[in-house]
Amino acid sequence: MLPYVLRRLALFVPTLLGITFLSFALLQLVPGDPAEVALSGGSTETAVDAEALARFRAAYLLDQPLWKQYLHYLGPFDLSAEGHPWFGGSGAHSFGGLLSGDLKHEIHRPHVRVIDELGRRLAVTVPLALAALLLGYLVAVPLGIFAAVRAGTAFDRVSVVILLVCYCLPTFWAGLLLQLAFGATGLGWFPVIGLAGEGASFAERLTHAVLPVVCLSYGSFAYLSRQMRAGMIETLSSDYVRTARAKGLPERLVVGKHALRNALLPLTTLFASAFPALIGGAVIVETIFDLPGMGRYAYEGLQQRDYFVVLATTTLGGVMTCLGILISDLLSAVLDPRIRHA
Amino acid sequence: MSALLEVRGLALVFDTPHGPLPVLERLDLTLSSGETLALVGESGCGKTLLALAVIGCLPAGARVVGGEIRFRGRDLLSLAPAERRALCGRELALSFQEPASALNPLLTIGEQIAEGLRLHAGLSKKAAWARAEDLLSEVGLEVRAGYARRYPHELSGGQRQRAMLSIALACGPSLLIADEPTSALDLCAQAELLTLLAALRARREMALLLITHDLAVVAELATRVAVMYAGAVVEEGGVLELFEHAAHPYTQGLLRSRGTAALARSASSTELDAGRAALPANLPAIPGQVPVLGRWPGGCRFHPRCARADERCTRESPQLLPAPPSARAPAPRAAPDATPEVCAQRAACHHAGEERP
Repeated sequence: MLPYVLRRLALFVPTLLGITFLSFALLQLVPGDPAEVALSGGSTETAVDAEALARFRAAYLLDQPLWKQYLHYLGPFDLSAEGHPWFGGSGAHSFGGLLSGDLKHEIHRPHVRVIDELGRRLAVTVPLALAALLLGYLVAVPLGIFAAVRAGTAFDRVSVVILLVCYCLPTFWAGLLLQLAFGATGLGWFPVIGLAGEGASFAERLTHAVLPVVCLSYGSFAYLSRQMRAGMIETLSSDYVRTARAKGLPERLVVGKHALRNALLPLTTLFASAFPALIGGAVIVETIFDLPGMGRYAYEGLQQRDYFVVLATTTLGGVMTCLGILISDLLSAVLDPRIRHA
Repeated sequence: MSALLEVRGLALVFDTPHGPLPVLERLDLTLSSGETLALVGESGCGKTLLALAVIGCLPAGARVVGGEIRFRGRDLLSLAPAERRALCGRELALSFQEPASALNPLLTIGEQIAEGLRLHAGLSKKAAWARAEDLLSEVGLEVRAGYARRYPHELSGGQRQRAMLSIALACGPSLLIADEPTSALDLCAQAELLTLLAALRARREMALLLITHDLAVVAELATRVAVMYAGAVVEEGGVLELFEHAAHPYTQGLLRSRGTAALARSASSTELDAGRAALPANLPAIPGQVPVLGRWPGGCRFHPRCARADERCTRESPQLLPAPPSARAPAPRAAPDATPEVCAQRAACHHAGEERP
C-alpha cells in the first residue's frame, strides 16, 4: 500500500505545477487590466492617473515580464535585492507566492490577505461539503443496495421516480421551498439564514447547517444510488457471488460482504468529481442561505475583477479536483488489492 | 446401500420473453457414496446447469419445473432456503469452472476458505484460518509460501483451481461436484490436478461428480459415466463397458472422434506429411451441430445427426432403458458395493440393440 501512496503523491507534484500554470495563463487571457480596474473602481469613464497606474503595477509586479510574474505567483522566486528573505532579499516586496503561502492581497480591500480570506471561506465550505457528501453516500448506498436486491419490484420503480424528480429539481427553487417549509414561516424547525455566530454551541451550528446540507446533497442521491444499484446488480450476478452462495452463506453475508465491496468500487470514482464540485462551492446554495463560502468568494472575485482572488480560487478549484482524484484513488486501493499491487 | 444423490426426471427451463425454454428434460442420474461419476457431453448440453440445480444456485431466469433431486433421501427442491444453505458447502460442494472469475477478487484465498468453516463448523476466526492453511497445503499450496494471505490475482491458473478446490473441500463434503476442473489448465497442470483429485477423493471417501467434455479425464478418474445430449442423459454405464461397448450412437460418435483426435495428434507430432496422408479422408466426427436451445428436434433429440435414425426416431422420444444384451458388454463388472441397477449400462435409443451400421 505504501509504495502505491508514495507513487500517487509523487505524481501529484507535476499535476499541481500544471494547475498553477494553467490558472495563471488563463487569467492572462481575460480582457482588462487589473491595475486600471482597481484604480478606476471598475468604471471606464473615470480617467486614471498614469503615475498612480505605474505605482500600482510596480507594487504588484505587474510591470514585470509574464514569466517573472508566474514565478512570483508560484513561490518566493524573487531573486532581486527586494525579494523574499528566503533568498537573501530585503523582503521589501511583500508577496512571496504559493510556496510561501502568500497569495497577495485583495485589490478592493487591500488590508485583507487573500490566503486569510480563503481560510475563512473554506472553514464554512469544507464542513458543509463533507457533511453533504456523507449524507449523499449514507442515503444513496443503502438505497442502491435495496433497489438492486429488489430490482424490478414496486420499491425499485417508485424510488427511481422519486430520485429522478429530486435530481431534476433546481436548487434555487428547492432551497426556497425548504426555507418556507422548515423555516420560521413553516414548521420553524431550522434557521434559514447564515451561520451560528461566534461561541455558538455545536447543536446551534448543526441546526444552521441542516437545510444547506440537504440542499447541497439531494441532487447527488439520484446518481449515486443509481450507480450503486447498477454496480450491485452486476456483482450480484457475478461468478464469485455464486461461489459465495454455493458455500451456503446467508444472503446477508453474500450481499454485505461479497457483493458490496465490489459494487462500491465505481462509487469511489464518483467521489473524484463530487468532492471538488462541493468544495469549489455552490454559489446558489450559499446565496440562498447567505453563507460566506468559497463559491461566493469566487463569484465576487470575478464580478469585481479582483485579479488575485480569481487566481487563488481558480488554483484552489484545480487543486481540489486533484485532491478528489487522489482520495478516490486511495479509497479504491484500500478496497481493491489489484490496484494496490499494480 | 441407498444412493447418495438421486436426480429423477429433472426438468428445467429458462424463462425468456418468448416463454419458457427447456434446458433439461427428464434427466435421471444416480450417484452412490464414494463413487466417481463422470458427466460428459458437448458444450451447451446442460451439464453445468444440472450442477447448479443440485447446489441450488441457478442463475436468474432458470427454473426447475419438474422432477426431484434427492440427497441422502431428502428432496432438496422442497427444502426451505435456510435448510438448503445448511447443506450447501458442508455436505454438498461445488468447485466451479473458471476459478479466475469464481473467486472474489477483493478477499484473500484464506478468508474465502475460512468463512465457510466459521459458518458451518462454527470455528473461531483463528481456528478457521489455521484449518484453511491446512486445506491449502492438502491441495498442494504450501503454507510456507503464504498462499492463504494472497489474493486471487496473485495466483496462477492452476493455483486458483486448487484454491477453488480447497474452498469446496473445506467442510468435508460427502459429495463434490467438480465442474470442468481442468478445462482452464495446460496439459501439465491438468495431469497434476487429476492426480490430486483422485487422491483427495480416495482419502476423503467422498463421492465425486465430475463434469467434463474431456474423455481422457473420464478414463483417468471415473468408475461410471453418464453421457448427456441436449438436456438429457442418453447413456450411462461403467467406464470400461461404455468405452468398449457403447450402445448409443452419440456415445459411439464421441468415442470415435476422440480416437481420431488422438490419431491426428500423434501423426502431426511424429511424421508430419506422411501422417496427413495416413489420416482417413473422411474424419469420423459426429456430423451436424449441437441443437440450439429451444430448437430441439422432436422425438429422439439426436436423430438429425444419427445414421441409424428412422421414422420412429423422429416421433418417439426413447427412454433410458437397460441396453439390450447384444449391445451391452459381455460380463458387466459389478462393483461390490453398488446395486446392480446402478451399475447397469442403460441407453436411450430405439436402436440400441442393433449392429452398428
